[in-house]
Amino acid sequence: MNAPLLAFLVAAIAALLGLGALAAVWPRRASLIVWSAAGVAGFAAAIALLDLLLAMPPATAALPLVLPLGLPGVPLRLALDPLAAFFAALVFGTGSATLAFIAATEEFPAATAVPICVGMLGIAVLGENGFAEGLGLALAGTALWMSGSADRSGAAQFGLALLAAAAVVAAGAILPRAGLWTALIGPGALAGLLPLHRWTAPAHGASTPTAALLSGAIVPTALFVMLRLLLSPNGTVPPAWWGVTLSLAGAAAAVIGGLDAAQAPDLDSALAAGTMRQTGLATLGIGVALTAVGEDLPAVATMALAAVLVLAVLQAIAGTLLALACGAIREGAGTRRLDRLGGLVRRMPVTTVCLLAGLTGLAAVPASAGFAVAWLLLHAFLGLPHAGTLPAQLWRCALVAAVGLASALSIAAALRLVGVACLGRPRTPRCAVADEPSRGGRLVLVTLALATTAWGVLVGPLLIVFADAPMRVLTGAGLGPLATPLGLAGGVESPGYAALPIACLLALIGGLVIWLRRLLGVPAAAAGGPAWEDGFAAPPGWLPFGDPTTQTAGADFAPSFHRCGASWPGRDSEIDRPNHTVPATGDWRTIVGSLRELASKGVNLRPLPAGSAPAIVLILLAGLLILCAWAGVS
Amino acid sequence: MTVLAAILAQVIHSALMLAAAPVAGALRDGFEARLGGRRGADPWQPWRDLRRLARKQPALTETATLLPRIAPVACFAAAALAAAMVPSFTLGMAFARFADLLVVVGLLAASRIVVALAGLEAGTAPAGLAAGRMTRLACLSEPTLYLVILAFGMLGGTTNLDLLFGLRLQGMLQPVAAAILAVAALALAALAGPDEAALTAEFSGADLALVRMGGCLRELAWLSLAAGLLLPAGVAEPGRGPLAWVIGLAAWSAKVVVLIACLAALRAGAGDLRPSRRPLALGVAAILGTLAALLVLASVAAA
Repeated sequence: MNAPLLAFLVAAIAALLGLGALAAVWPRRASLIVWSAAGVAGFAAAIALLDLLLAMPPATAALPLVLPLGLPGVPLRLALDPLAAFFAALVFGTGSATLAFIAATEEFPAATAVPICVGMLGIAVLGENGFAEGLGLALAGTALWMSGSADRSGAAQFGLALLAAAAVVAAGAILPRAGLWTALIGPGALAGLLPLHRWTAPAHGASTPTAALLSGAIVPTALFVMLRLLLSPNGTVPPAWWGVTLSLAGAAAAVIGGLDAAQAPDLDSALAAGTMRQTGLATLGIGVALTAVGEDLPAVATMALAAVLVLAVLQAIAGTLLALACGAIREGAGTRRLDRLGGLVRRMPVTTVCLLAGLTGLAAVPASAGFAVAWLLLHAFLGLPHAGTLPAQLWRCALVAAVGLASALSIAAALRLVGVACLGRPRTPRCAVADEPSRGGRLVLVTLALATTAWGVLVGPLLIVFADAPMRVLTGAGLGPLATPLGLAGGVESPGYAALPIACLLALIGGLVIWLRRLLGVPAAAAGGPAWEDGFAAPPGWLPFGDPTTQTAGADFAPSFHRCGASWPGRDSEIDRPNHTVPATGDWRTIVGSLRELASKGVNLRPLPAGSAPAIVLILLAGLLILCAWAGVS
Repeated sequence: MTVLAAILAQVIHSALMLAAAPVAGALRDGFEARLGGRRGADPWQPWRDLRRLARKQPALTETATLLPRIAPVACFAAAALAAAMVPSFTLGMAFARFADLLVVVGLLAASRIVVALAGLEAGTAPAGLAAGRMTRLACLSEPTLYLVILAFGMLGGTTNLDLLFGLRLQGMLQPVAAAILAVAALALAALAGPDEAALTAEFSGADLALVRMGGCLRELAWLSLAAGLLLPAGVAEPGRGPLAWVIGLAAWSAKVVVLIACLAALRAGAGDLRPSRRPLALGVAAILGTLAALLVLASVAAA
């Protein structure tokens, strides 16, 4: 049953590549081509889901399909095991939604790149050898780079894709023992882990489809590659320090990404930082899973990996939704800066509700998928062995606190983005006349918003249906008692988190209150009059939307931890220090300062010379091919 | 029969929480006034205020959307569900299986968030400042809450409140010192958390009644949580009859009143927590939470 489905998927990938090429040579028919590509990607996602449904136990062994493409001695081998099918469904689903949005909003400059990128990511996910995975990642990166902006961020994103590809190839053949470093440097960096996160982040400022693919398709693919590199199904126990290192990298990315997301000055960088927070949480989950595998605790490893799978799906659905919604806001309101947006809910109600649904899905609020992730991670920490040295225990406390902080920051970011961009008064005249995307675009947004909500409320049953077989690939055992029809269970005797009943009870109480108010004849709210401004004078006539400075622009929604040492908790010393002197070079303060700078800003590339990009691409591609050939020979 | 008893207990508990929530706040104010040499208001005054407000038509701004109409209901629903999940006089109620500690904490946070969203909708300066202050303080208190949940999870092997209360009742949450430290951290984190007076300014009439009721329910849920984990005596075990319920009811009332009196004494003695001091208090709460978790871990390692 597996082979025909794989053949269908390969045909769909070929069709996507062909449609992408067709859009380049026949731009007048771009609309038809993009709609067809959306259909093909949706079909591929359905095939992958069908494979997952059929792969319920006993799962059949995946037969590889060898394509007559590739280098001498290094064929392109594709296979469809349940884990690949799980992530293929995410990649193709994201691709389908993005393509449908492009077609509906007529953003045709991306009509070539997006189908090719989705197809190539499909090859990366379905690849059975390092060459196929590497080639897919490299060419997907190339396609994105060609479509996106030609500035350094696009080039950096592309370089990261190539780096990830090289890491995959190297891990497959040459350096099988260096799995952690290849995973961290390659796919980890591609997904936005420290300290390379700044390379990826500004690229989210690219066009809407590119941003959607970056956060919705590339990040899950990078997580998939990390899982493949780090968790070997043949039962090898990873060294203990792998788990510790990964948890450190994950916790740091989650906290710094969370802080950035709650402080970023514009929508795109907030979303990019939010993606980094999610990647960090997923890496933390992989780290805990590796530790649990090392300690021979399969149930805990399953719990941590379930968190990773929930996060991957959440990132695919909500990440795409948020990127598309922000694209719609940028298009409709003409800016992405938070201090120039505001009041969009009155002109763009559908987009606002969808943005709220996506951000709530990511935030750790009960009945959302983000809450399920926090719950799973916390219970994975609970399941780790309690005995150990003091540093190890302090370490665990710090990681749990990091999960808590990341959860709080996810709520802060959600409240801030919706509150500043969509609620309140408009800050510019352009916002006051913002327009919703077309009907098709709105339909895509609403579908994704419903999917995000459903993934949170029905996380238990959906995990049972779709994640059991992938978990078998990862750990050798299924989900076991972890997922229940009502939600998640921490153990056999512990009832756990019941997402579905909680959502139903909330709806029931809300409905009851509304019904009681009707029954008791409480008069409905009457609208009239301006908002009460604490008795301040009315704004002058030339400020038709009120004084913008009386409305928060979201500057203070997260604590500023970098000032902890100097001024926290007093406020006096928060004023810039005029007598601050630069310490001499070699002073320890310089080292601490630069480390802090590195942690907060990351390594930044200087702008590349304009003409150098194609040459760099060719050199990198050639290097990759040589690496592949060498891998095949050795 | 057990199912019917569980449902009946849940109904009585929910009604009790609803009825007691406004009174608890009034009692605290009354105690505080007494300690300050004043007479204080009648404990039933909040109920009169709520009844008066509930009959009034809410007024909205001319640009209001659907959000400020939904927010009071959502705020109340989340707080009411959280309060309904924290056991008071008996264990084994109908919602016992859903009563996860992390879920209750999350619901209490969600109840505050919707009010902040509605406040931001109006676009006024105080609401924006209050929303920012709220999330800032939540970022400091949430890690503590997670640490406390970790400590209790390791103490009891579960994060289900019903099971935790039962274990505490049987004296199985050992060491007790860790449990007390964890409750202290929890209480401090809840106390130093943000107050949303500036956010409720956007509501009026029946909407304000719902939002105020939500705030009272949140406070009572925290008190009830602390009472059950700190002073477990008196709670009826699952499957016990009405007599045990009555004893449990009396014990719960006494515990809550004692806690309220302690709170009032604390506030009368030390004064209300200044906003600039709240981060410091939350830092202390985080240290207490870490200590509780470490104490549990050390006791496990020693055993």
